[in-house]
Amino acid sequence: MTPARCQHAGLVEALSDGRLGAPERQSVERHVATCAACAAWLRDLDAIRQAIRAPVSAPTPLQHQRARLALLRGAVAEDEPRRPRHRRAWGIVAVALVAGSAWATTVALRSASSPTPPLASTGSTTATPSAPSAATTAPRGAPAAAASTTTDAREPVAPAAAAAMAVLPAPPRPSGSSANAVISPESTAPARRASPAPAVEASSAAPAASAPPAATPPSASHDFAEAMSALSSGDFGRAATRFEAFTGAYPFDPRSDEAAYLIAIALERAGRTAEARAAARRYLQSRPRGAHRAQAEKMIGTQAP
Amino acid sequence: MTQSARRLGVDRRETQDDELFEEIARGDLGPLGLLFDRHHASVRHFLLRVLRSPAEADDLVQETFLTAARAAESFQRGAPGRPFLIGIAAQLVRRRRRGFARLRAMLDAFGRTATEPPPSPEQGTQVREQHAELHAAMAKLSDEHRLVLAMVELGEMSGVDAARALGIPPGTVWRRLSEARTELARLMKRREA
Repeated sequence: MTPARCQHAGLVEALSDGRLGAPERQSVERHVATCAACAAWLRDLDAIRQAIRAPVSAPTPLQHQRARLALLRGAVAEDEPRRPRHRRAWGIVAVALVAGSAWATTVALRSASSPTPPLASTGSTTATPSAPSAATTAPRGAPAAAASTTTDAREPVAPAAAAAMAVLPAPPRPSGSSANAVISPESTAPARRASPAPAVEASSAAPAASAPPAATPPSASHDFAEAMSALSSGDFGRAATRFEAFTGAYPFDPRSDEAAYLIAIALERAGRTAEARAAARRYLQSRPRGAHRAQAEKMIGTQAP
Repeated sequence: MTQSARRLGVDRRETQDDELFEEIARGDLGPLGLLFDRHHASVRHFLLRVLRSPAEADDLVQETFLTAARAAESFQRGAPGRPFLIGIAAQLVRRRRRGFARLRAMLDAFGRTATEPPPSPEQGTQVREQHAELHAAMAKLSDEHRLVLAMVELGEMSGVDAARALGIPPGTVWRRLSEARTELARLMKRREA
């Protein structure tokens, strides 16, 4: 059934990949027209490509929204210890503690209140440290490494993949230990993510921490993180209030667009549909060019443009 | 602050990927959500083709975007986002596999038989009938072969891009690509017959 492989099979593959120049392409196309083996190979290549590219089961809008929130929550939590590098050491400690307790609270609340479906179903990404995930929790050291290599990586105007290489420097030869070397600089994150033990303690400390909304710059991140954690722990009413406060307190913060939109989401989850619609309408009115207009329009039932 | 104010008035949907990465590199995490909306489907598609379980794929989707945010400063001006993200995803897959390989070795040391996990019933429902066939065939490829094939077919990457992202010579990528396709064609034919 399978015709023997023709010696030009490699060229046919190149043709299929679109990596031949015009003259070469024409000559290979002529060859394919006369060679049964190559014609069959070309069909196979097409079939494989189509199968691989065939749509996969897409996540539902809700799953998408959850994954998106989990991502932003994770990024915000990571951002906390990252920023104060330029500030004083106690700042780092304080912020790390806040981030840690915020995370621990989330876990504690989630495990405590199992009846309410945790908002971030994909939150397991950040929450459950499975055995191999120690190896996969991505490198805190990466940005630094990337930064140092950027200068040479940027010069030879290479495709974006070069940047990806710079991100996660591939060990020259997988010698096992080199993989550890890449991962090891990341000693802080597992510490922050692992040990579920202090969760209980942290959850009792959390309400106290959430009380004072200070006016110093890092509190924008803190407030946002707090609103996010309220949202993901299923406390939608509090989340809506927090996001509302955030947009009021930091109208020029880049996250205020997100926050304004999340007010509507939180209200909707809280079952306060009418208020959610009103919030979505306010969002549309106040942010003529917001990133979430399409979703907001969907919420109030108008057709997106 | 004036910068942020100005940005509020800009239609984010039209902003190019490189600009968004630049903002993330400057410390604004807002654009990450937008990048996620744009590219999460492609990244997830890639990971579903490369990994065994959908849950694992969803995990790595998150990890990919988090890593991308951390590495935003290395993003090339004018470059499209997808190859960058797929390159990162591929690296994470490799890393995760090393973890699994160690785990498997450990289990072996305990005298257990470590075999390929059978496809879960959940997988059967998630992948449609005709694609289950491809999935099964792809699962038989070596990890590196599967990775290279998915990168080139789904990542808008040339073999050279893929080689760079993986840190291997382009010749190796072309060879693996060709071997992967030959093997896949053979496997899928055998199932038909």
